[in-house]
Amino acid sequence: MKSQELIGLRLPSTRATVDKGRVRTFRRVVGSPGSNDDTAPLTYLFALEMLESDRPLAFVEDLGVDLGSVLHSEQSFEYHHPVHVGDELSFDSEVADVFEKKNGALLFVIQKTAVTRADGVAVADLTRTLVVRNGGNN
Amino acid sequence: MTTSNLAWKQEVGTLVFEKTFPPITRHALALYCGASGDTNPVHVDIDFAKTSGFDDVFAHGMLVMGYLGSALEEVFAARSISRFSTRFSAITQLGAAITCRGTIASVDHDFMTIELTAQDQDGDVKLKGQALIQIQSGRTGDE
Repeated sequence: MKSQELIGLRLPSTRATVDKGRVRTFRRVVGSPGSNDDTAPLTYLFALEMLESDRPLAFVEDLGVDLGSVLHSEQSFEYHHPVHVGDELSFDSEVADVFEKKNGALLFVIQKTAVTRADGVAVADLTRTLVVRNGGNN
Repeated sequence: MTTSNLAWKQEVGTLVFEKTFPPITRHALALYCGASGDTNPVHVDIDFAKTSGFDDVFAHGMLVMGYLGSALEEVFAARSISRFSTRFSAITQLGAAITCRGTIASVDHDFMTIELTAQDQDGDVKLKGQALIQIQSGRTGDE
């Protein structure tokens, strides 16, 4: 697949339930306080989508890119509503933009993800920017 | 892990947190791989990392952003945080002892912007970012 053809591509929706044990483990690993807290830590939604997705880096793989050539360039979270243990969430992602820099030596892919609770409440919007070195497909 | 919770004023330039995390080990990367679902082998498999042109495995950027988030959450209630964003400026190597700092960049009636940095023991900046904090508890809903 050509990189420009990715723009607007919607990835299959991912569903996940916020699990108490997983949240506790994540908190411990990132040195977070509140290990008995029922709220998801600030970066947990990024992890949860990858934990539950069948193919978390589908569009990168579809480009034929080596995972070792992919770096995370930027990440943002906009929070609309706190996430609690037991929440059922859906993650809907699309490729918002793809562009090159340095005469094609670097390929940037911007993915936007809307996170919505099962009762329709908007929870958060995530934006990730990945950069692929040397076009990645040698 | 050391934390200094300073008594701080809501004014531009004030350091609101400074927290240093233990040096990043291979074990920490393996744990983050499992806990986060980010199974990219470049972070845990030295053979794969070398094939990709790296000398060794290196930390997930999101592990370091997770540290920043933990430091933020020690100071601000999660529900007061409206936005949290970072740029990953440099690769975080094994052994890095990351210090996360937050400094007030702007304050108005409703919101405060915190400038965030994560630096290693040599002062190299690994992440730079911002958090937008709601000052008034204006958020409502079924908590």
